[in-house]
Amino acid sequence: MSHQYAFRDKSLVYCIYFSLLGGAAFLAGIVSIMVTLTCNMHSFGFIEIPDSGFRGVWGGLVMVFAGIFYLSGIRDSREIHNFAKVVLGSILLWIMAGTDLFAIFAGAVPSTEPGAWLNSAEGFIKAFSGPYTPAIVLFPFSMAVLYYIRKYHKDQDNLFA
Amino acid sequence: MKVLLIGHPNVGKSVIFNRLTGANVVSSNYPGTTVDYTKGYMRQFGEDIELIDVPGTFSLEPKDKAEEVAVRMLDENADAKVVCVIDAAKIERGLYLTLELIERGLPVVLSLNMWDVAHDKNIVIDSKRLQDILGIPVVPTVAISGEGISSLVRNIEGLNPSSLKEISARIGYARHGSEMNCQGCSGCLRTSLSGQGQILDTLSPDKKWDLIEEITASTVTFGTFVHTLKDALGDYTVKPVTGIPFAIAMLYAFWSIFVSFSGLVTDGFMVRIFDDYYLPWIQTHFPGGMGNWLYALLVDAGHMEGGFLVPSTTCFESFGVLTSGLFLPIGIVLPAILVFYLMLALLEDIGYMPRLAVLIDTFLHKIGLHGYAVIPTILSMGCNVPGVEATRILETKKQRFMMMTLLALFIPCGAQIAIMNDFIPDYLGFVMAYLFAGYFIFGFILNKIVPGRAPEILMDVPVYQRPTVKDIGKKVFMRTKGFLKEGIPFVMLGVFIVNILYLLGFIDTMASFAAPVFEGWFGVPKETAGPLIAAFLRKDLAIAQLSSIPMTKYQMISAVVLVTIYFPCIATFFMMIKEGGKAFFGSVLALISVAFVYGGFLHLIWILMGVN
Repeated sequence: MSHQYAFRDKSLVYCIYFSLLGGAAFLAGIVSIMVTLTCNMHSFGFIEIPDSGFRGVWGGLVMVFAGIFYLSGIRDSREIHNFAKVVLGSILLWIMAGTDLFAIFAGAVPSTEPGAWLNSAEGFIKAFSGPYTPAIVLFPFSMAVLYYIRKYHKDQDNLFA
Repeated sequence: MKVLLIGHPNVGKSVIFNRLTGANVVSSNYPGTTVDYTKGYMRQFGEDIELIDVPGTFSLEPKDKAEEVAVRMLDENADAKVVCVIDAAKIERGLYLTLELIERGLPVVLSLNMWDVAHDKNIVIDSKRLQDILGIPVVPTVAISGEGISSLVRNIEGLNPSSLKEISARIGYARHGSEMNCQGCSGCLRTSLSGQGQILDTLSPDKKWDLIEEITASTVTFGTFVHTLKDALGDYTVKPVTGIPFAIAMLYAFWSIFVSFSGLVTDGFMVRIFDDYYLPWIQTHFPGGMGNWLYALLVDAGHMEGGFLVPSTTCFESFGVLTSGLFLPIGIVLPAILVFYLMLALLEDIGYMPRLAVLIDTFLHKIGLHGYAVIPTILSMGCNVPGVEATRILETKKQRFMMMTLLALFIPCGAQIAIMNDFIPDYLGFVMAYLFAGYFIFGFILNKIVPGRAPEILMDVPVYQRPTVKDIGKKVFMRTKGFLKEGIPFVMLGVFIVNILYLLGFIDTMASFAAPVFEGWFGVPKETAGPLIAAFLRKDLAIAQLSSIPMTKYQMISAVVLVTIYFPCIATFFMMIKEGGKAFFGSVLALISVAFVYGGFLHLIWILMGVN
């Protein structure tokens, strides 16, 4: 059975970290859907819920799925399939954050001033100064999975050396 | 010298072909990319060698149109040498095709491609021993990186045919293997005469598999299979519970990037280039000026304001051959089609498409198709022409007929989607929802009324691969070039014909004549007649025209759906004739009937909702 394991040892930190991240992603997705469907207010401090049905509802649904993947993957953290679910949850978060950042980038490049083609450096940077979508906020935290992927490869080398 | 590249679908034949000939054949990480043969040349051994990339086939007993092409190529090139490309990780299946080729008395060199994948799966193949047993050169290759390709080419020269009798003798499969005259056992080697009068040894399929078992037992070692993270992720993208959420996320990414990129290029730059610089320049420099018929046809017809004819301020409004005719394909469609093809190429080369096919296989079986129907469907969302051509991967005439009809009816091409996204973004979701609903509803009905079989097939899911920038770039370039070559002249021609018809009063006459049908049955303004005529040339042009006709939101949705479904564009029309043959006429009948019924059905929905 050893070949089914992703890691040599169980890790409590791993379980707590990804359950918190999963919970946050799930909640963010639900809130995003609810806010888009029912409410006119979309900005909460440094967090902004997209106001279009596409990004708010469809994107919110993807966040919910990301949360579910994380939460279903923390059980028996050593098992390879459970670890794969955590990785899949991160991929979904990266898709969301990546597309949100690209949308900001696409809106920030052209100038809105007549006569100028490109936005000023100041205007470009300002476009990235927030508020941010929940996916962008959670994006840095999801990068922790890269550490575990590296650890997985290291542990596999040791397991099958 | 002539060389045929033969092998299973999706084993890398086209990649090898491109490497050897420097050609630009599209290759993807899913079966059925090559549905017709491609010829190319390479210079080797001091001579020009003709290389033919044959569509993938599992055996020499064809089961679909692409496999028929493969077998026909073998028959027509009996003097050719053969490079048999097989997947080293699925060596038994590949060896069956190899034995069939040897059985035909063909000189074969065996390429054990995807050698790296076999290695990753702990499959160890003794290629030297395999070569000794088969009596043909066996070369391990990795087509994507080019490993082993030069050795493969070196082995083409001086190839000699092997025979099943010799192989059986070498492996010691001698139950009856050497008894050429055995008459009582269906599995024994028999002799037959080839078309060229050559005496050949043959084996029944069962006995071939027995022989393969013996060969692999002495040449292949299957190590412990370790389920890796990559395997687990691959499994999850196919299982419905996890695969459907992942597919939803992928579609989200696809659409989000499509909208953001096309918005950035079109609204950020193209609109300004065309409206602020190009239009004023051509309005100033083109001879004739407002009121001149040639100027109106080619540059700007203008519009009436306070009793005066005034020039247009945007390229779209001007509707001239040299203004709208260039703005639509270059300013709006090109950025969208570029990003669409880029993302499609990424999904294809990573290997996600076959997984999507497996995932929606169950749904598509409800309408008599199978999972692979997703490939022509998604290709059609770029352009209907390659989509119709890709229907060859479907097995039966019924499935191909249904697929062609559904593509022509309900799948808008990338150019059309781009225009809808630009001109009617608020209605795009509704239009797409109605089209996809129609795809399944009429698929279900066609499945019930069209005679024929809709068999199950087993689908091969390839391993995920890292796409290369070179392959992606080449694919995007070739597809975009194809669009530019066809799209720009057709849009310009479309604008020209529509302008002429307007000038001659033909469209107004048509609109008045068809008014009872348009207004009474479909619930759209009679002016929709003009865009419908343009739609035969280009659907994107027709949608752009529709957006300038005053109508309600619901009329607009009906009109756009109608333009999409009433008839294929001219390029798709000719491809359907080529691919469908006689069945094409049945398809046209189905198209017209469905357009009439579905258009009326939408009107009925609006009436029932009280919004008409």
